[in-house]
Amino acid sequence: MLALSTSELDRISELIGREPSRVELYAFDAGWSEHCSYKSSRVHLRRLPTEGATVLLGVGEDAGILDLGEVDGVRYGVVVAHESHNHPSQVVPYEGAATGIGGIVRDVLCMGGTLIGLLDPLRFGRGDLEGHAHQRYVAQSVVDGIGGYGNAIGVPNLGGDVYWDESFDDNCLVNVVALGLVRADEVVHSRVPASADGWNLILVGKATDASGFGGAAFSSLTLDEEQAEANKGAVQVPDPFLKSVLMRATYRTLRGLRELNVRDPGFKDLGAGGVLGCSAELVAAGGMGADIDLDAVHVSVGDLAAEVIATGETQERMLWAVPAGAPTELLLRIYNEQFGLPHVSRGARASVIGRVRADRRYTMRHRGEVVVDVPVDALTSGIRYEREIAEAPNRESSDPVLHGDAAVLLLRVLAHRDVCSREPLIRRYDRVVRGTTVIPAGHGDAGVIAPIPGSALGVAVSVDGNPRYGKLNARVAGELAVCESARNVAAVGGEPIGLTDCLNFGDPTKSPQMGELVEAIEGIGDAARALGLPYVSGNVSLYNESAGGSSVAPSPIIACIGRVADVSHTAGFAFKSPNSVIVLLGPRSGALGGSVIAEVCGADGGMLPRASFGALRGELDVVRAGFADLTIYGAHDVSDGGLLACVAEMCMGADGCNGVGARLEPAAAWAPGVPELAAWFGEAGGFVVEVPPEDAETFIARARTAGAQAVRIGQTLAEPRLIAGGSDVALSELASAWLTPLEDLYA
Amino acid sequence: MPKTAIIVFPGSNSEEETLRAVQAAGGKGRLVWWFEGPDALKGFDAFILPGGFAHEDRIRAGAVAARDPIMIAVLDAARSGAPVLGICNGAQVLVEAGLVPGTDKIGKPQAALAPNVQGHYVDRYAEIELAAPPERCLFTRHLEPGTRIPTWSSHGEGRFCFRDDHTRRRILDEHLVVFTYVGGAHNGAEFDCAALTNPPGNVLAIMPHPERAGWRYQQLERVRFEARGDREAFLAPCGGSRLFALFAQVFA
Repeated sequence: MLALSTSELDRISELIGREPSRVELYAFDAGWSEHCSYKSSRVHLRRLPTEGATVLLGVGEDAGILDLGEVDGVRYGVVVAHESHNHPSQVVPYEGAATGIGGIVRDVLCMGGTLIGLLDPLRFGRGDLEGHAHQRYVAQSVVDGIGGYGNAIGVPNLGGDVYWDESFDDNCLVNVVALGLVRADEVVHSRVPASADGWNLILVGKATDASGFGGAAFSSLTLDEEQAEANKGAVQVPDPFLKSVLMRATYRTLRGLRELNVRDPGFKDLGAGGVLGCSAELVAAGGMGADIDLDAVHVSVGDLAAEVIATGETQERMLWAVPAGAPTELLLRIYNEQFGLPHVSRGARASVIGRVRADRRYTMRHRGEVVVDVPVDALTSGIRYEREIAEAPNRESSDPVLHGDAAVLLLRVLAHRDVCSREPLIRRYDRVVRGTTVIPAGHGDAGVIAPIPGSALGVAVSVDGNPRYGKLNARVAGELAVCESARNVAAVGGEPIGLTDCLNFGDPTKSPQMGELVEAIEGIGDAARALGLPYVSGNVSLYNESAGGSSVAPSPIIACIGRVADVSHTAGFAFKSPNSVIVLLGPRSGALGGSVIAEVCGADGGMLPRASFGALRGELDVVRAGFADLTIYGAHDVSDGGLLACVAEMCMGADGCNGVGARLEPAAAWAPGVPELAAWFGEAGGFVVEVPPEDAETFIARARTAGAQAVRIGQTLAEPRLIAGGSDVALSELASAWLTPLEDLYA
Repeated sequence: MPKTAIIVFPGSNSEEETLRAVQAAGGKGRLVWWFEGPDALKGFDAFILPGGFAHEDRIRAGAVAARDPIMIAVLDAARSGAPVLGICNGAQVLVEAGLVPGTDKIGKPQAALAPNVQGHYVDRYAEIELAAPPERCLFTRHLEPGTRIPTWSSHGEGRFCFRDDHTRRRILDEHLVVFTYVGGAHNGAEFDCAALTNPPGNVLAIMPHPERAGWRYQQLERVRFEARGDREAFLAPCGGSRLFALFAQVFA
């Protein structure tokens, strides 16, 4: 099944001056797919900010790299990659989610990075509700797949999020963020250097089989119920055991090549388009071409068609470009003999499959015949579309008036599927392997690690994006996703230094859905520029639709990466002490659109809260300063469920047993003019900060000087109670509402 | 100063931090890879099998690794009284190899690590308590009776089960359960067992990871908070590190 359109077929014939061969057809099918070429989105993605002082390596290779700082005179970078595996995870959830991890791990590895963390933003259909057995199966199997792969290879989970919405019933979203650590002087590139003429191309990893054939094209189509069985063949088969050994063999190879003074080896992950897609991009990026011998590719079965060997997407494979002689011998020895890949997985190994050539021609031979012979740029430059764009629908409306008792509503908000504790889910993931974890996933707004042994230099990371907001206004949802991810990093004591995005949208040939994508790009671009944060990598996933043809909730998902100068100046969100002053940063508003409280009250409509970038910069600065000089104990961002849910979580702590209570002033005292329930539960962004009493006045004054709105709203208590809004609730009662909802699915 | 080998099987994933834990406790050692073979273990005085999924946990967790050729040298060393510590997957390998709690007369293992009662992998903080007399096991001789140690429990098959009542009686009589989980075993282990030794006391199979709570920065929020702003204290060994003290001592 080819996804190329007839006009695209004509373009190909024009470009190469003849009818394409069968293998060439599949080559273009992959190379020109939405997945590889970003043909609908690229013209718009150019508007995102991608430069800044913190960028060590910008977009364009397997992953981007941010500047983490220096330790003992050595500069370190954080490798950042963001991918989606939405369609595979809907069709075959365990394998789809697992191979999503597998693929992104290779992106980081191929930059020369050591894997230091993973995050998993997930969007499921109504699997939490009765009568949705399939959605439940998807929600459980995806998490099993992520754990099954990530736990086995020994990379800690640092965070993620999960939302449940009916728009994902037929098309879940499974995104993944991976981080790596690399010395700035040891970065490896996804391209061959100018000196690479005659270098060997060495394929490393699993034996090529028929799995994952047509994957790139498949992920660029809408899911069709009738084709579900056929599509299963397009999903790859994960092998975390092989990957675990491959990772370690690769670390050793990288070291060995440095010892041999090999400058600038080329190294690239095999993803979309298989051997052909990877090799063409690796050499084209260096201005070279290649001759590939398909008979030299190690395969698991003998009779694979040439196009399957050329473009199939069998997992656990990477491609090196290194000089002949000692470097090639070293590489073959490490993978094949020392680490014995053939003993780890049947047929796995490292094989020389071709050579780099200087003239930008790309050929493939199979059983003595030339099956591909084209200018390499024809394959890799792809095509662009200027899709028709209709104005994105703005579904905001006037805010509803809510009624109810704050204490009763708090229990329902805490038990809401988008607010309740994620602990039952997170426990399926290894959060502490590698021994570098400082703040584990679920214990702070961002995960924090100290990835360099003996050094206090740390990385904080959070990933965010609220589909309830996306449904109302894609542009504002994009802005708010950036703001929330930056807030989360600051809330643990990190300094935001960069972003990565995954844009999950519907069918770009439908102009309103294309409009939503373009609006969201505007939103995430504006917010990033306002906060001075560059994007160093990203991904676009389109054709995410329901069986009925409507788009999933527009989902711009943003990860923010933060630098932590000293991990001893970080903290999770739990209140640390009684008698602290509780300070709110960020004004409350009457906006209730997309809020949990509106849903709990059964109310429709509403406006989304708007970000004030200037004030947010002030908030971020003052929270960071507070961690730096130890004048605050900790912070938590106000998001899903609003201020009261935020304070309740700080009282309870990640395990529900923190036992520090709080007494809050009446809402009218700190949010005059805002309807009371909107003040308690509205989701206008902000921070709740725990400040020692002696530092409270200074902190508030400092915040106001920085342009942030700061107000004292209460104090912490030794008694395990939350006293607010005219009621007095035991923390144990709050904890039982908050801790248990996801146990049904995951405990 | 003794030399400690941290043995890396294909599929091990906790080797680096385990080596760091040995070094942080003042010991010396290095990673020894499976492909180096049993001869590479000559000259080492103590051995650690780290966490992970050795040989993909095919058949059962630890079952294939227990028969890896490099284990020949470990079995010999264990039988001659050398200290051998297995952590998580390493503990599973030791149990599969019949080193803890020992075998019957015809060589059958007397214990197994069954899937957690939850039926799946569980990752959580877990405090453990010294349940045997400290002198019962080489690794705990320096601890006070009842010492509590923070660990992080991350496994899918950690439920210690014993062969029969005869074995259970022997386990209790000989105090082979060295550590129990405080508050009961979340994974359903018999006797709340978190760590099991062999009758001579030189081999310890521990399911939760002491090296994942072996420095201050890895501790729970409240313990971290006590050292906030103090970089040196934050990065210093504590807690689980105490189980690695033996690797810096001269063995009797």
